[in-house]
Amino acid sequence: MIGELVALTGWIVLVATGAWIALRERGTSGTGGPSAAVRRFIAVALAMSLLAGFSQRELWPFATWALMPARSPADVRIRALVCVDSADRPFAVDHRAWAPLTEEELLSWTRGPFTRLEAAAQRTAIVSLTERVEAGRVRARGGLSPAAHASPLGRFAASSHLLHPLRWTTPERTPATPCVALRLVERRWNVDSAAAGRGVVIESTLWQLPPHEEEP
Amino acid sequence: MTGSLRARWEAYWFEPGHALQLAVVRVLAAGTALWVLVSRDRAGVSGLGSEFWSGVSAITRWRFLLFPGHETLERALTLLAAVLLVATLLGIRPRVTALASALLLYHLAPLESIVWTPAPYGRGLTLPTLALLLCGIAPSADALAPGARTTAPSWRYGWPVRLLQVWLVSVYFFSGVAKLRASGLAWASGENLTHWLRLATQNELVNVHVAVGGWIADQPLAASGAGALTLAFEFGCVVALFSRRARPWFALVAIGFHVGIYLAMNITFNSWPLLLAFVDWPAARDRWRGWRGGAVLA
Repeated sequence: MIGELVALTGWIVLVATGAWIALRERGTSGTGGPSAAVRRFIAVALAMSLLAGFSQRELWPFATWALMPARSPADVRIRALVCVDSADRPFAVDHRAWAPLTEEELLSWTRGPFTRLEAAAQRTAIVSLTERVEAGRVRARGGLSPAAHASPLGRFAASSHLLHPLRWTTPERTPATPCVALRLVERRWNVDSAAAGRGVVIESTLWQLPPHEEEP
Repeated sequence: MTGSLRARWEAYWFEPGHALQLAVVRVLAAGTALWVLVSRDRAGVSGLGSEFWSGVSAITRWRFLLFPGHETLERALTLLAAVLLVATLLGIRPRVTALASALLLYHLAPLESIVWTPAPYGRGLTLPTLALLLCGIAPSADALAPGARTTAPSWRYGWPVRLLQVWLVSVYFFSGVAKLRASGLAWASGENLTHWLRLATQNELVNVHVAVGGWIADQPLAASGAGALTLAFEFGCVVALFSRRARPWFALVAIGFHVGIYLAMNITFNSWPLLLAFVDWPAARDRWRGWRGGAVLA
């Protein structure tokens, strides 16, 4: 809360000072030297950047730039959302089908805000995601992009900060069976063992929505 | 002593700069922002159900003026931002269009990650937003327009470029600070780098490129070297702020650094074109003119 107020205040002061500078110096030659407003702008911009960087608190657009700061263990746990067909068979989703969400934002959401939702709201959210992915699968089966609003830049579009494999690149490489549920799985393995060719990935289901119902 | 420090501060920030350098920064910032903006569908996030917005606090919503259920409005604002960025890129009323673009990007960029965090750094619009704000404040003398008059170097063209360079260096410097705070020097150990590289090349969600990362991870010396060099680069890049000769080399090494991370770890840095702000473009232009003149005479 305080961090957000500091970030907002810093941004407003910066924009207001900048607009003031732009208006005051319009049409002038700048021979009088830098004004107090220019010095104030630089001071605020530096202060916000240093505050975000050294405190490692989010003050966007002044960023912490904490990029992979932790140590990575040999034993890793990675979560993935997969589709499940009517026969309860899982299949991987092309990341473009999650759009407008990117896969990493979606997985972070399932770890945080999703867990705090009521059961009914969780179900509503997962149903809408399932419908979104299924619509993407149908588009891909028809030879189109799985994304609802594909970028006009096509393969030249900027990726999100992580690359993701393209899975549903042709109708033949797109699953033929509809996605009827989503399953959050956790995969555990040892990266050193896997590199040595003797790794085993242990996959466990954390939840599936809607749950699979066995036929009587 | 205080007077000397003040004089150094003044000399650092208000050293005369060229209008051409600022015009190149404007083109780089607008071009990068436009590329990232039209690459992904941020407006669609506004149309997601309220369940996806449940973790977004009221202060965050008001901070960015982002509210669910306004997908059409967000699409219109995205289109407006794209038009403004094209105008900025082409030098059409660049001061007004750059400032308006920065304000719109401040509103639109967080949509990408807002379902769990309002801080979309690393997604590509953070540095362009700040750079466009600078372009909106600085004079719009367009040194890139055909037949543009050459203007004398001025402090007015210098400080915005210098501030952008500080922001660019802070990406690496604070990334280094975060690593030391979270992991200490052990972050640079060969074991840690090996594990990161193996995770990035074995995780099916991201393993697009596997050859380079897999090779480095299998060479203990290469992995240790990569870790040490990463920290050395992240802290050493501060030199580029004070050494004119180091600046183009910093840009070159930083772009190489990102190509390496892209191939080895499947991580992108979409703001890389802004690193070209470290190239001395007026000097490059003069060298080009001299070379062309020499070639014509020969």
